[in-house]
Amino acid sequence: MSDVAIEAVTKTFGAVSIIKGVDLAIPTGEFAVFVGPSGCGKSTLLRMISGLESVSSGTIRIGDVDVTRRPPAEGGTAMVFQSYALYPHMSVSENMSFGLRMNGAPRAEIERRVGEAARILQLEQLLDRRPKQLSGGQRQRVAIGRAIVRHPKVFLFDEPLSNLDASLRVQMRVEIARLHQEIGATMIYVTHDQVEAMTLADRIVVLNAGKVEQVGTPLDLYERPANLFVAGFLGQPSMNILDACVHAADGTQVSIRVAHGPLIGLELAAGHGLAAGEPVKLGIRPDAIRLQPRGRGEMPADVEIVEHLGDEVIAYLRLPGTPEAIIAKLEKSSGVRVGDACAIGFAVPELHVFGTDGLARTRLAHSA
Amino acid sequence: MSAASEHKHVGDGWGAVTFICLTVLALLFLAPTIGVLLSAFKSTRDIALGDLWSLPQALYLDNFAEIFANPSVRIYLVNTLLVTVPATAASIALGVAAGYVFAKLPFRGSDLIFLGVVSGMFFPPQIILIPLFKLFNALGLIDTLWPMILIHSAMGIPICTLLMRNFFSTVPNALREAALLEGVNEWQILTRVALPISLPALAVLATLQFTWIWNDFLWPLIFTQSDDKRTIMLGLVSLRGQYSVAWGVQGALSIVASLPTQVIFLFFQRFFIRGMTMGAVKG
Ligand SMILES: Nc1ncnc2c1ncn2[C@@H]1O[C@H](COP(=O)(O)OP(=O)(O)O)[C@@H](O)[C@H]1O
Ligand SMILES: [Mg+2]
Repeated sequence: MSDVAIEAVTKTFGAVSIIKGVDLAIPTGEFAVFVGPSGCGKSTLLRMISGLESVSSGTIRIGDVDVTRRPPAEGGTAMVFQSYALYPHMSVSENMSFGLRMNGAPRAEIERRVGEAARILQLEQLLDRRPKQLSGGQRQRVAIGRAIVRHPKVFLFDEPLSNLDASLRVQMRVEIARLHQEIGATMIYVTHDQVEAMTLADRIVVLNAGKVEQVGTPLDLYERPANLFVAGFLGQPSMNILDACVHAADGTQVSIRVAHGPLIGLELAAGHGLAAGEPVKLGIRPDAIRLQPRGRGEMPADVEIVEHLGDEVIAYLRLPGTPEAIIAKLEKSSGVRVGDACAIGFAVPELHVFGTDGLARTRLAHSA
Repeated sequence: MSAASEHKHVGDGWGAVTFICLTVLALLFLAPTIGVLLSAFKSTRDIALGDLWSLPQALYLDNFAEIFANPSVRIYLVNTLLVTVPATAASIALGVAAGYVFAKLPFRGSDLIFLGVVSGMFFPPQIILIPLFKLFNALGLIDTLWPMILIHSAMGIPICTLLMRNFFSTVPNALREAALLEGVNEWQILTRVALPISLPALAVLATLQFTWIWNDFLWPLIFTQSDDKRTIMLGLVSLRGQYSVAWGVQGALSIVASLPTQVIFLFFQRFFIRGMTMGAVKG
């Protein structure tokens, strides 16, 4: 059963099309993360699910109910805003109980729910404070508490951690993950931060320019990006994308010549549609790059910059005589130094092949 | 270094000039006021002998006694309250409603309507004096308090709408949206969220409108005839006719007449500066 079903949903503001046909099914209890660059329409999609934004076409169902044209409160969603959106003149407990009070819930029920939310979020000591007497992290916990007291079918989070500093962000991320485990409700979480997406999500929805690029588990998307956009968006540092050209294609066996580099043979699933002479892109993650002594490797390169991150080393490599730079993530024991003349070796099983259409070609069982 | 310090000196020079100018202006403005205030505490004889600014020879309170003994004064004060309180409340209520719609529920063309409403502020009331007189005459409301209540309510709308719209615009949309998602209706959002946050704006408006309407002279002069329909400002002037040149009594009544506006100011000014939105949203 799917708790949130989005079918062919579009959104236009005036003449500008912002959401260009989105289909999604989010099962009950799932933690789904919408991730994508700023301005791609994540918030708009989330706000359409909440009912705060009207839907231009398509349908949205929550549970079995078509909520496409319903007012916000009837969808059974609760939203946590990036700006917290706490009522400044109310105490923490008044903030959490406001909606229930306005809707005439019995006093005992209100107290029970506020107490429960305060316990889950460790807000018991703060119930009488005003928002301005709270730290950023505490404010966001109150905002989450305000969502919890409503017992919503679906929690919606719009970049809830963006206003927090880095260390608090990590801490709140863990708290939100714990919250999901504890109450098990469906949650949809919007972020432009791929680390938040990778760490929190059961499933990630990658959005770009109003369209879904790919949906899958974090590992799925990391290991098998469906296209150049997803490949480049997830992973830090991002995947290296190299120009290459099909040297020969014989059924599923394809050999590809990397510009300034070696000829690589690999096996692609049938229907790859690549022909000899066709340009392609090769993707390789920084941690799949091996540095070898010059002469033994496949592609000569010079080490330009080295960044030490403690447990690992990021090396920026330049191919001699070209403007192209390649980023490698190496063990700290690699001993790489600026100015080293070396050669790049590819771990062929970890190569990704993209056609000129930007779509990935499926690799078959890797024959080293 | 020299450029900076020179600049500072120039600034100081101007500061002194500004200070002197302001002091002179303040004195010019205060002098007659002080004169009137002093005469409130002088006997008629005392007034006739000394000049306007001479100190009273003894603290003389009979002027006040005379005012409080005069039944007309009580009627003037009650009439003024009967005009000022409803008109202040009505103009603020209408401004709040219109301002909320313009700020939070805009519709096609609402910006244009807003401009139209606000431009009413720049409309000299004398232009509509005769049509208004004919209107209220036709309605049979001449020599009642209604024309003043209605006119002040209406003429307060532009300034109240402008101020409330601008204040509501600073109330984050996310607050309204959070409330909507919780099933809170628009009226509850206005009264339980937007208004409590907007206390500073309400306090400014209440003070402004109350003072303005309380001190009005023009409209009561036009629309009232009988003594028991007069407001305090009109009464203040009419005292002269009753008691030849009653400077002392007039001074005393001036003090009494200005008390309500002073009280209103003192009561509301503590809300003026409060930054109520702090802590609502970050950044
Ligand atoms: N009310 C609106 N009117 C016009 N354009 C809007 C409105 N809301 C959002 N947009 C536009 O829609 C695009 C997507 O916005 P948004 O969903 O907020 O992006 P994201 O959350 O992914 O950063 C942006 O280009 C933004 O300018
Ligand atoms: Mg956004």
